[in-house]
Amino acid sequence: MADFPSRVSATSRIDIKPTNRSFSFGEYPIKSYRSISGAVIKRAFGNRAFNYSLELEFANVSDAIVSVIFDHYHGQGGPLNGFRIPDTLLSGMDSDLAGRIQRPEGILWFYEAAPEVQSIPPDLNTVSFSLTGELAYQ
Amino acid sequence: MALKIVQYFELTAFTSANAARSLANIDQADGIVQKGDTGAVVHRYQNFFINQQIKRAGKRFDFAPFKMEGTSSTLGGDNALVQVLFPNVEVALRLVEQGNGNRLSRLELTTAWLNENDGETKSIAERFLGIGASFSETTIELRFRSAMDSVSGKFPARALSRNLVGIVPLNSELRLQ
Repeated sequence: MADFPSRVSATSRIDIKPTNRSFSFGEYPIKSYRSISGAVIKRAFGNRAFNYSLELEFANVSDAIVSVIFDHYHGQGGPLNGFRIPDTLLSGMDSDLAGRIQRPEGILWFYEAAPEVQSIPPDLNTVSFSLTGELAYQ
Repeated sequence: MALKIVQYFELTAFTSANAARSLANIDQADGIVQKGDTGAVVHRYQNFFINQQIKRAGKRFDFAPFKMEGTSSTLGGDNALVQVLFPNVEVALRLVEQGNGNRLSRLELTTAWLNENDGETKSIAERFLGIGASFSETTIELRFRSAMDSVSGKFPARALSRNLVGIVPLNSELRLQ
């Protein structure tokens, strides 16, 4: 498991920060039965939330940043392996809220699909992808 | 009203010929009587508290993401059949292999209802015998049936004999006179 990179390289000062992001709070394993009268019965089958989502867009970034994201995606086996996300992905956000999104209990982040890149020569790209926060069975 | 449902899975897997002797000690009314269980391995899991170990009735249950399905009852009193689905992971493989392909195993499955504070309000325990397993690329299915069939409605069974019916026919033709 390799964490999502926060910088282009260990010696670089260039942070990898998104220019746009959206997220959801996760959902619980609940099934509902609604009777013909409209009354609803709910049953829970687990005690933690799962399926958090974090959609990220990196606009006007260099080819070097795209290469780092490319390597991380393939290093994780695409959507196979879970990882943690660094502070830089939530930069500008209140630290209390950022902590809640970054580290929900028992959650690891997975690529939902391959990142998509719009490439504009020379050296300008827009990368977008979604991460899913899943409960990993240890 | 919202309720939480947790299932406790306690499987005793037998690894040797000792199994036959132990499986003979089944008492449907009192549950499965365990005698001479040396050589048996007990696996305990629960499926609600994620990655937590839960202590219940003095026993420890680890988390495993399993689910039970398929139980049914009929007027005829047939054996109840259930399947317990596990992901295809090492823990589940061990369950199957230690019970000789889940043919020499006994299961006590307890379904418990929890209130908002995770306190247990009531529970139902059911007991089953292993009758095999099947594998797919993602799941392992353990199959079980209830320990004993209920007594059928035609007890004692009737028998056709020459003393009762005269000459027993050799084919299925009926001749009315």
